[in-house]
Amino acid sequence: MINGNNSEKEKAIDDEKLVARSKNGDKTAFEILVRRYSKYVYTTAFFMMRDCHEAEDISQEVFVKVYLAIGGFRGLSSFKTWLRKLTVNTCIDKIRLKSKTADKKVSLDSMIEDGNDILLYEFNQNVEKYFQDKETVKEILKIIVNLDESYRIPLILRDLQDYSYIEISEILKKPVGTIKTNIHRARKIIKDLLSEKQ
Amino acid sequence: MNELNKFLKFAKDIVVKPDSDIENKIINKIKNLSDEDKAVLDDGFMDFLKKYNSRLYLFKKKLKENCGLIVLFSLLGIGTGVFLLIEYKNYRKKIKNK
Repeated sequence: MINGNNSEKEKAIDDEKLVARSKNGDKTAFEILVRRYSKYVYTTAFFMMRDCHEAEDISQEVFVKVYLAIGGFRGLSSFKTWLRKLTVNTCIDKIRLKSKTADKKVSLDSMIEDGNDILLYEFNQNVEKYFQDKETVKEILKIIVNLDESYRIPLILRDLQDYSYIEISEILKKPVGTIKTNIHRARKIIKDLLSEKQ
Repeated sequence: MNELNKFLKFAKDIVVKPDSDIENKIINKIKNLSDEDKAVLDDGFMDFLKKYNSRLYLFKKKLKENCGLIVLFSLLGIGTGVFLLIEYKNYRKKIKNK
């Protein structure tokens, strides 16, 4: 996701080496991992939390956890998968804590447009089509960040993070049927709002 | 819906640019860790670490997620086994008759 040009395989090998070096206390290797994945972690946290400051705090917390525990990482899954799961878990913990303590409403109108640039990789299409698609993806993301939490989180986990329905149901402690229904409804909302705008 | 799936696939490849220099903030944080920061290694995290270091847990998870596929392959395997057994019995009968 970060280095669009490298193949996943090449990157995975590289990650393995960097993780091994980090385990041996090589801080430079860990810094490379931070530079490679910090935006990826931030993006995941941003869409889940809908707040850039919280996304920043979570990114820091995730990398502190990784740094302190990298010696115990056995590498049974890829580093990126491990990092992704850790980020999502950290976000879910924060969301649970937040909903217990305060029902804070966040104004997200035009958050993406004003506060953050969204970088997109080229889609291997002609330029005109690329810009059309880019705009549509932006519209979809704007709709997603404004969705209700019960729709937003399952949809992000399923469609942007590739979690299975079973995994989502375990993470969110909700039945698989509810998760499927909420994702279906979320997609329908996006579809309806998109066709309204077009 | 297919069109939406296409755009959701594209959306996976986006990266939000943080307001501040997040990379250096994280690196500085790691360079200046205090004992308080070690509190992030709470029970929840240790449980996560344990799970993702367990082959058994990961295997069970894969099994759970691919339940349908496993049932399909098992049925196919049983079917193939039964077919081969019948064929073998027929073959032996033919040899005996000869």
